[in-house]
Amino acid sequence: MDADLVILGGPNGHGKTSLAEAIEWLFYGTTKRRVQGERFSRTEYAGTFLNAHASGPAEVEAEVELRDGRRLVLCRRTKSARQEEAETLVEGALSSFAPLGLVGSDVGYPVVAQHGLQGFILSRPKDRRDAIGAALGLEDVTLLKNALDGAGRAFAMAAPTTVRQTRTLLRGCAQGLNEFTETKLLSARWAQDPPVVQPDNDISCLVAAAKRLTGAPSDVPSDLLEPLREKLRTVSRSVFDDAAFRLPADLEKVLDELAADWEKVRAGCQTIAGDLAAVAAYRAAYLAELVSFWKKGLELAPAGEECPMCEEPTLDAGKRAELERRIAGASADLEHRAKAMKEARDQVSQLEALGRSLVEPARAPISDESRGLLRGLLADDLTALDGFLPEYTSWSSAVRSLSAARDELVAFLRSLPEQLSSPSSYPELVRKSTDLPCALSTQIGKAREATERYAGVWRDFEPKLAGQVSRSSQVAPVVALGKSLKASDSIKEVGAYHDLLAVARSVARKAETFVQRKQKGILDTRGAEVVDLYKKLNPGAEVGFAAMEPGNEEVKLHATSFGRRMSAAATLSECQLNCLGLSFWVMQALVPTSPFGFIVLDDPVQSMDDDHFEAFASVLLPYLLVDEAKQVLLFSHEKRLVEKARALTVGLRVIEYGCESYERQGPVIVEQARLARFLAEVEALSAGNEKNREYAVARIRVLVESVVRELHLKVTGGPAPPELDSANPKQLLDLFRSIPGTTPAQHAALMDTVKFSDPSHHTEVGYTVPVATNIRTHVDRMRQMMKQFGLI
Amino acid sequence: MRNLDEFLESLTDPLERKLVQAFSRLFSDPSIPEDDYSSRVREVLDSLLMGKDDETSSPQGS
Repeated sequence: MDADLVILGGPNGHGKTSLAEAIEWLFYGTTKRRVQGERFSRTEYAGTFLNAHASGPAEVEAEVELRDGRRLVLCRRTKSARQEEAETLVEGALSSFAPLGLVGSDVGYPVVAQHGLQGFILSRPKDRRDAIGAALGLEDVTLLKNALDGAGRAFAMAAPTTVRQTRTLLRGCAQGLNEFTETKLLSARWAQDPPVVQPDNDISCLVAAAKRLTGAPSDVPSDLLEPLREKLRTVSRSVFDDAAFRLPADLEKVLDELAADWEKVRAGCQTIAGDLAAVAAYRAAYLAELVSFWKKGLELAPAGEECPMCEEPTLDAGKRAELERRIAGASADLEHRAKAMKEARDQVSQLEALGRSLVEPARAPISDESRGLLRGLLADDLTALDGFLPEYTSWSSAVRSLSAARDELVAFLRSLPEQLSSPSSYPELVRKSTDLPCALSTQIGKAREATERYAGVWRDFEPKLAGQVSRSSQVAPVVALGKSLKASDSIKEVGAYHDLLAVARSVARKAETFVQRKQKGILDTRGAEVVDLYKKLNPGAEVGFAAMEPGNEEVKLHATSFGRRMSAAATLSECQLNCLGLSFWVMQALVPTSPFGFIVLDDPVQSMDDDHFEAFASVLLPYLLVDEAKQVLLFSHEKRLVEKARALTVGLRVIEYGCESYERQGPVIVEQARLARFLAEVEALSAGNEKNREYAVARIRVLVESVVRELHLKVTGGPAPPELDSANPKQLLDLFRSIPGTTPAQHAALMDTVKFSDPSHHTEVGYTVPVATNIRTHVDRMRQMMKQFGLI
Repeated sequence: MRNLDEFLESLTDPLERKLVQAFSRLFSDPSIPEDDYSSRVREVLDSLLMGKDDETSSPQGS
């Protein structure tokens, strides 16, 4: 392809577009067709860059000449036969093309593909805007804008989980907050879907309401939560006081402590019982001794009136010892009494604390009033209430029994000093000292068992009751205020979310404005170029493309019809639309900052009538080659176009190829050397039999005509006039003479060959078929002449 | 200068700039297809909401 104009001719389906796309893939790693197709179906287009007819990876390699004159071999190849992921090589080494200025930008895109000519015209205005924006180098900002639009929509439609949860919470609080003067307006905003949040203002309103409600002085939301909880408890109790239902928060610990405390108390009670038994035993022994003493005194006394307790020397040693024994016994008795009473005092204080958190507050039976309130609150769930009430009754009864047994033991212990002064009560004391602790122990066991059972029931019932209480008109506003205040940080997060959403939308708007401003600026110049190129293809037309007009997320394409403006997409003919598409993509390839010095035109004359075809070949093509100094790679199935293009060879290097066939391995492309082949064919015929030599002479005549026409094309830049399509020998020679640069000697020589091959001689009397040497004289002449003219 | 850079220079709001800078990194990464830009930008928005710096939430990682 080392020429100014490379022509590749061949029928449809012979690989011309494949070659154009191979060039596209080399420099961009993809193709416009693939990008467009994947918008509809990734699956359908997957794998189209793989090597379909060979086992190895797909690979495109080309030697390119850089602006600085360096020649480098660039290559792109798939990493394997099954992977479309590709790698690039420069001079055989893995390397990016970016350092060479090939960054894959749409600006200066050099391949004008047949299948994409009208793509941007017959599309949605926004897609057209994006395509044109990309072609004008605004792709990055356009993509930013589109990405922000998409992300913003997704961000708005599916807010983050925390934001959604907070919104739900705030909407739920809106009604309750309507009850406070400070939060009335806020309530209206929060009731919307989604709630409208003004974080700083809203939190201030909530704080103001909480301060007024609780009397707390702080402006910090977290400081107001505990006062609000206390307020909530107060208000909730006014609706229904469930204190009797509640269990200690640390129930397990309470039950463990009850068991442990009871063990201590029981040990103390056992001591008391032992002491009381000892006191009672002594009292019994004392009475027996006293009776014995009295009996012995009576025996000692003389008969008559002598008092046995007088000062007579009756206290002998034996009697004295007995008295001392009695005194000692009485002292022990006193000790037992004192110890029992001290122990009783100790146990009373312990007993009073025993299970206090379980038995307090009073677990009273449910009054009719409370029962009625509960039925009102739980009207929607009476089954739960009916399941709860018997359990509470059973539990509260067990706890009250525990409390009564404890109180009875306490009363007993408190009465010990008094009762010990009455020896007659000793048997009762001894009995109670063991019976009452035993009874309390039994009640503790029952209460523990009932408590554990009730705890499960209360756990289920409590939230139902609390829920109904919190929904009551007195409590709900306080609950709403507390929840909202507690969610202060989440409210700020929702605010941040809205801010972020606004930022995304703002940037998208600014990007759109930026793109429009840029587009307008660029279209003022580049758009004029499109119009100019279009006019090159449509000289003097009264109907045709007029202008591009950027708008909000769109670019309008205007046409004019005899001075009247209308939509280009809706009114231009197929041929005109192709011309417009061609003009646009050619303009893109001609952007001065393009890194490419070539342009690939793949079947550019689709649907063109003769006039447009002529304009393309004789105006646009020379413009690209000469005015824009572009290397043009022209692929076409139109023989006329190939012929016309060949006519543009003045001062230009031209190579012509033809797609001869399309085989499993790919297109068979050969360089076209038609005249050389023609010459060889005639030379071969001249060496044959008479019939062959006769045919060789006839072919020399055709060869002369081809040479003259090719030379005319090459030198003048245009084909021979149509009236010479069936030129006679004289006309052919006149045409030859008219070609600048031809000499009289050449004129004479060609006239001689024309006469030699003139078929009119063949009918003359005596005409014989020339021998081989005679024919070769003319063949050699033609070869020499063709070499002189650079035709072979 | 790329148009994106020029656009970035026209912005003064720090959050707006962070968004565009994050996109600029996406755009410069040839391994990310255009179709993924929206979802990637959405991830950036999520990160910014969570108070993460966009540097750490970029597709390249920190």
